[in-house]
Amino acid sequence: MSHSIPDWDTVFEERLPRIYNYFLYRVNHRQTAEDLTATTFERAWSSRENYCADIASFSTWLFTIAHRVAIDHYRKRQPKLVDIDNLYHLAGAESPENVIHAQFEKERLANAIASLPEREQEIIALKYGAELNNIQIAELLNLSPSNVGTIAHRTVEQIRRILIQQEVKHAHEK
Amino acid sequence: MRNDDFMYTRQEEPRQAFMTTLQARLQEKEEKPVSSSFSLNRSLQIVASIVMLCAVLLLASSDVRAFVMQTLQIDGWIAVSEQDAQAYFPFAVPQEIPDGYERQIVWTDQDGNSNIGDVSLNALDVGDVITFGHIVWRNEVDNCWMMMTILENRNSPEIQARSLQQAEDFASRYDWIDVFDVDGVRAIWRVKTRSGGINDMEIEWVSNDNIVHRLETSSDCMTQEDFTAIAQSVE
Repeated sequence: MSHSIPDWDTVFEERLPRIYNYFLYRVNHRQTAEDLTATTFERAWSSRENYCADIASFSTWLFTIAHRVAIDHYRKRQPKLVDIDNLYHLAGAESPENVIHAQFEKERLANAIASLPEREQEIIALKYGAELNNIQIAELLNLSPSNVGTIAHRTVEQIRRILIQQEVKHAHEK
Repeated sequence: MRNDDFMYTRQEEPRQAFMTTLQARLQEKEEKPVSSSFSLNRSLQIVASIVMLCAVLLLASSDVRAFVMQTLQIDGWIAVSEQDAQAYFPFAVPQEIPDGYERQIVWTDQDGNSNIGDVSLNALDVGDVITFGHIVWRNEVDNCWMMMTILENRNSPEIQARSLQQAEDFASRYDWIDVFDVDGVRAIWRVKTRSGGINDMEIEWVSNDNIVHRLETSSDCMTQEDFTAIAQSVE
């Protein structure tokens, strides 16, 4: 069996942001996303000797751990949290108005994702948070790639409808 | 602009401080090597004897579809690698799988999670194939070990039903419970896989007061929390 594992500096540089964004899409809370990312990497680090390249690619192995960490997290049934700290995170060269607007749009998207069924949320987080392709997602979730593509497409259309409905409603209220 | 570009707008860069801290924490772990010394102390001798008995009995009964897992202690357990398991449990983790059995490849991690991968379930649809699997944990504090053995036949409901009865007979005949009652946790564990796979596990165990408990897991891993919940319910 082959146990070759990439250099961990490279792993950190390339994979950590993707794992982090996967969790961010799932939980919409930066601190929680950081905690879950840390848990994932600690587990991967502890069991890195057990990684077998013959069984799965390193990316698949890492995301399998992340997927299980997410399942463990949702077993605890914690209420969804709103991350107001994100406002500060975005602060930079942009004007306060733009920062608030950008954050508002992010929250709208996050809330739309959170309203979806569990499986759709997972696929969206893997596709748009972690930027995995349909084949990788299919492998993780035991679905066919075409099935993943279909679900993702329908889900994006559903999110789009939700956002448009919100905009219309908002315009009416004004 | 792509049709779904807006879907990426929730992404953000992780904080540099978070990455640095996490990297440092992992490197710190690296500097604390785990002792590889291994001594066959009394606890291990007890576990080894019973595990060997378990393996012999289970292997001798080819139509058993059940596993029995013994726990000595809940906290502090870590899972060990396939190689270590074979080195320390050569009798219970045979290098060569008996005829009619097929090994499950088991991933384990040091948080006590057991991950069963590459089971090739689809390849086992034909005939009376019996799957052999095992997961071994080690407790570093006491240097004790525990092992879960899986023998299952996915293709015969009759055998499955009989196997559950055999698991109960096991406990009554060999009185394993008392042997493993170290920290007030004693249990018979049985696993029933649904829809032909190991992914959906339903685990039953019998506590000291003879109450049957049941745990259903939605994934193919059992977490430390699962163990803790079981321990609390048994105590």
